[in-house]
Amino acid sequence: MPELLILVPFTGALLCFLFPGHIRDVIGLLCAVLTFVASIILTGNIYQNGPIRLNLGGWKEPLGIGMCVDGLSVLFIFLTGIVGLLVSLYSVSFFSKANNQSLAKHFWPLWLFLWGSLNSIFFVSDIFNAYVVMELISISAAALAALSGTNASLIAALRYFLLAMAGSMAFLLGVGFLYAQTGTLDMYLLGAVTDGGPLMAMALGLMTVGLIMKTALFPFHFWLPPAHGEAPAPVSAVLSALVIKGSFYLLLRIWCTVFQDTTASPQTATLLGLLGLTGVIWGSYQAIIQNRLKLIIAYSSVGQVGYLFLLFPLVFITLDPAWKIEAWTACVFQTISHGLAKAALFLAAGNLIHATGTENLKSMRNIADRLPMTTFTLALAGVSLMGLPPSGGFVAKWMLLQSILASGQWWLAAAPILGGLLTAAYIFRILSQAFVSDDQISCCGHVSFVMEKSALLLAIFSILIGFRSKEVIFLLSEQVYFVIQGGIIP
Amino acid sequence: MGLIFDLIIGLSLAGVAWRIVRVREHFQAIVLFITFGLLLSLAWTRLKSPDIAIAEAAVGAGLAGVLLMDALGTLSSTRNQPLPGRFLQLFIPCLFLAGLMAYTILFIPADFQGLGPMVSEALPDTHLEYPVTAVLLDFRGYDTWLELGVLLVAVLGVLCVRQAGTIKGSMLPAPAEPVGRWIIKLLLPLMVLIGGYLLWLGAFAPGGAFQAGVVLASGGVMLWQAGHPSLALLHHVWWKILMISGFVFFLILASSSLLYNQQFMTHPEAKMWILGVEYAATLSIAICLISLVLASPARNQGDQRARKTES
Repeated sequence: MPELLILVPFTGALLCFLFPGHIRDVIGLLCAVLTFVASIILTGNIYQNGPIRLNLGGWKEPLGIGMCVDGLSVLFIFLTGIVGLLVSLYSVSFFSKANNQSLAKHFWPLWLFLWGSLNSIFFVSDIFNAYVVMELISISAAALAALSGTNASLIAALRYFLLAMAGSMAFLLGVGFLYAQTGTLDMYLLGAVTDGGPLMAMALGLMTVGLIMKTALFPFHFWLPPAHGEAPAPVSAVLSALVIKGSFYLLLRIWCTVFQDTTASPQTATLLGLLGLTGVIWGSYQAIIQNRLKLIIAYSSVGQVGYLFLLFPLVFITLDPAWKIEAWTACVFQTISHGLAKAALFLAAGNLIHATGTENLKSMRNIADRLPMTTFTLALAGVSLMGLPPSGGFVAKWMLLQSILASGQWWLAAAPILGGLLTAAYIFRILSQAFVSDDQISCCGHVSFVMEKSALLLAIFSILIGFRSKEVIFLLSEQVYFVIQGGIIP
Repeated sequence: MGLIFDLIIGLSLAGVAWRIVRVREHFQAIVLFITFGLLLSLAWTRLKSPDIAIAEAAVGAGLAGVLLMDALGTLSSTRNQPLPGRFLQLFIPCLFLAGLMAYTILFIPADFQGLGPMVSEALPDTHLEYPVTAVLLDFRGYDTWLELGVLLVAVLGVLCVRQAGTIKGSMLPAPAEPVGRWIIKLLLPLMVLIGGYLLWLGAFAPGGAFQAGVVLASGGVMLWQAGHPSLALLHHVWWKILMISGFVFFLILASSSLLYNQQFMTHPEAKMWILGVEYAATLSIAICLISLVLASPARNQGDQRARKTES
C-alpha cells in the first residue's frame, strides 16, 4: 500500500505531461481519487496493525534504503490525501476558467509530482534519501509558485527557490557529517549510535537550520508571504497546507530518531521554542496589518507554523513522559488542523478573488449576502485557526496549554494565548468586511459549485478532526517507531 | 609532491571563489565560475572519485556555464552591479562558520571507510562488477529514480516559468555557419563515441549513465548552436517520451516488483535489465539537459529579436 502512494501520483504526473486537453483533467482527478483511497486504507492499516518497515530492493539497511510507515507518517499522509483530493477537485474547475486555461498543462504534472514526493517524504527513513526527496519537493513547489506567470510571482518564486536550495545544501552538509561520524545513513541505525561528538553537533545544527529555512520559521519566514500570496489559489493552498509541513515532518523525524539521546540539547530546543513564539506573535501581527486577502492568510501561516516549534522545548526539556506525549500530540495535531483550515482559507480566498475580481480586502464588501457559502467557509476555517471549541485547533491548543503549564515553562504560554487573540483579530477583520453592506458594488462573477463545496468540505474537516482526537492521540503515542522518552523499538 | 599539488588546487579554489564573489562584471564572474568547476573536478580526481570528476567537469563547468552565458544574453544592459554594501558584516559570520566547519572536519576518523567494505562484500549478489554502479542502480536505486525525477521536474519547472507548452517552440535552429558545421562534423561523432564508451564502461569502471548522458547532451547543445536542424526534426511527442524514458523505466521496475509480490524496487537478476535502465537513463538525461538549455529564456528572446529584425 505505501508503494501505491508513490507510484500512482508519479504515473499520473507522467500521463498528464504526455496527454493534452481534457484527458489531462480526467487522469489527474482519477489519480487524486486513487491516491486518496490508498491514503485512507493505509491509515486504517497502520491504526490497526502498527508500524511497518520496507527494505527497498530487498537490501537491508545500511546498504539499502528503508521506508518506514508509522503513526506519525500516516497522519501526514492522511492530511495530504484529504487536502490533495479536494484541491484537485477545486483545480479542475479553477483551471477551466478562461484566463487560467493555459496553466492547467503545467499545473497537473507538477502538482502530481509534488504529491508523490510529499508522500515519499513521509515514509523516509534514510537521511540521504530525505535530501533527494526534498529536492523534488522544493523544485516542483517553486515552479508551482511561479505558475501565474506575473512578475511578482516570478520574483517570489525565485526567492523561495534560492532559500530552499540554501536549506537543502545545509541539510546535505549535515548528512555528510553524520555519515563521516557513523558510516551509515539509516535514521534508526544513526539513532542507535550513542556517542555524540562535534560532528553530530554540527550535523544537528546544519540540518535544523536547513529545515527551518524551508519551514519558514521566524526569522526565515520572509520568503513565504510573497510566494504563497502570489500563487494561484489551489497552489497557495498546497504550499501552505502541505509543503511547509513536509520539511517540518523531516525535522521532527530526525530530532526524534537521530539526535534525541545524544546531541539534542535543552539550549537548542529552547532556542527553537523562542523562535516559534516570536514567529507566532510577529506573523499574526503582520497578518493584522495587511490589506490584501491572500497576504493576510499567508502571514497567518507564518504565525501558525510558530506553534509547531513549541514542541521542541516541551518534548525535549520536560521530564514527565506523560506530558511529553501530550505536547508531542498537541503540536502534531496543530499541524493537521492548520493544514486543513489553511487549505480551506486559501481556496475560499480564491473564490472571493475570482468573484470580486480584486484582492483588496476593503473592496470585498457585502460578500456574506452574495457568497454565503464562501463566507461560511472562511468563518469555519477561522474558528479552527483561532482555536475555538470544538474544532481541531481547539484540541491542539488546549493540549498545548496544558503541557506548557505542566512543564513549568511559563513563558511559552504567551504563544497560545496571545497568538489566539491576534488570530481572532485578523479573522474578524476579514469577516467584518464581509457583512458591510454596500449597494454601490455591483454583483460579481459566478463561483462554481465544486469550488465552493471543496473549500467548505476542507473547513468542515478542520472542525471535525477535533472529534477524532482519541484516534489521533493513539496513532501518535502507540503506533510510532520511536519512543518519545528515548530509545528505539527494534 | 602530492601535497603541494593539493595545496595549489585548494588555494586556487578558494581564490577563484573569492574572485567570483568580488568581481564586478557578470561575464568575468561566469568565466571564473567555469574555471572553478574545472578546478573542482581536478580536486575530485585527487580525491580518487573519477565518477564525480567527470560529472563535475561536464555539468558544473560545461552545461552550467552554457546556461549562465545564456542568461547573461537576456540581460538587456550589461551594467556592472555595485558590490553589496553589507559585505563585511556578512564576511565575518561566514568566516566564523567556515572555521567551525573546518574544525569539525578534524574529528572525522582517519581510517574512515563508510559503507565501502560492505558494498564490496555484497557486490557478487548484485551481478554487477563496479561498486559505484551497484550503489546507484541496485542498493540505492530508489534515490537514482528520484534523481531522474528531479531532472524531469526541473524541465517541467522551466516550461512552467516560461509558460511554454513544449520545447518545440524554441527549437528552430539558428542560421548555420560554415565554421560551426565543420566543427560539428569533426566533434559530434567523437562525442557520440565517448558517450557510448562511458556508458559501456559503467559496468566495470568509472563512467555510466549520468556521465554518458551529459556528454551526449553537450553534443546536442553544440548541434543546436551550430544551427543543425536535426534536433528540430524530432517530433515533440518523441521528445517528451525520450525525456521521461529513464524515469518510466524505473517506474515499471517499481510497479512490476509489486506484481511479483517482492519488496518494492526489487529487479530481476538479469544483465539485460541493468543495461536497459542505463540506456534509458542516458537518453533521458541527455534530452532533459538539452531541453534545459533550449528552453532557457535567452532562446526565446533571441527568437523575438530575430523576428523583429526580419520585420
